[in-house]
Amino acid sequence: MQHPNSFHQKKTPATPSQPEVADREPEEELRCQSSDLNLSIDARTEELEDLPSFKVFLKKNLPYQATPKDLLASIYDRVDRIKAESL
Amino acid sequence: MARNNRERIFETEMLGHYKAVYNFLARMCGNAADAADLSQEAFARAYVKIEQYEPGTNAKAWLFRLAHNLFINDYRKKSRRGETELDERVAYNRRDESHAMAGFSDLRIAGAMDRDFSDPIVKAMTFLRDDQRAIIIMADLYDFSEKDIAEAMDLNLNTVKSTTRRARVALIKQLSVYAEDTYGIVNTRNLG
Repeated sequence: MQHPNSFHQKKTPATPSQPEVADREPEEELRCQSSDLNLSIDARTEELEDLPSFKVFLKKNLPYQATPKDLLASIYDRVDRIKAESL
Repeated sequence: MARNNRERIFETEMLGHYKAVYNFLARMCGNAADAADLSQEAFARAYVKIEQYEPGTNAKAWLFRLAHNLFINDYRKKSRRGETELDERVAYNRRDESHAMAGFSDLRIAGAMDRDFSDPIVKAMTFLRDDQRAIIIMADLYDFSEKDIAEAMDLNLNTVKSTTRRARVALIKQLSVYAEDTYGIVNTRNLG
């Protein structure tokens, strides 16, 4: 039975030209076949005609932001305090 | 849930996403310190509420749900500055909705893939409503499925679809104005 708060795993992984951002530093240059960006919207579907290129464009311009050096340690500290309070 | 099991799931399925959660919140808040505080709180809640997560499913989407709720329910409500910004965005979006989408039937920006649009995109994102901005981040930066976005944001699927369309159009309108002002574009079939 499906858990009410569960989330489905993605069935379609990102293509090589659309690496996920933020989980890791980008390892390779994003590639696109054209240097022009098509932002046209299909009047029938009201969707972008070239959504994959739009995503690449956004990912190139909203890159990974370095996390504060102590963030992970702060999370551990916070969780440790919760554990201590629950004892 | 047994303590060992809770800690195993938290360590193996949750913690690896801390950079993604931080980046999501940083894009939502526009402020690194607040994003770090909210990230810490999001993981604290994840640890406490881990019974509500089904192991082996989509931990990142589940964490984004916690992070998004924190942003809306804690950060936004407490932020006087944010409320002012929100009012500005609402006004902007009302204006925005009066414009037809017809102007985007053939919009291309020459050389945009080779140019740095980071500043105008960040600025344009601030003009989106919170829900629009969250959806753009999840859908277009993190490649979440519409179903995952719907569950992460507690919205129905049709609302996610329509909000995603509106958010992209709002962003594109901003970018087209910038591109036209900066590069003198480019709304032509000849570039294809």
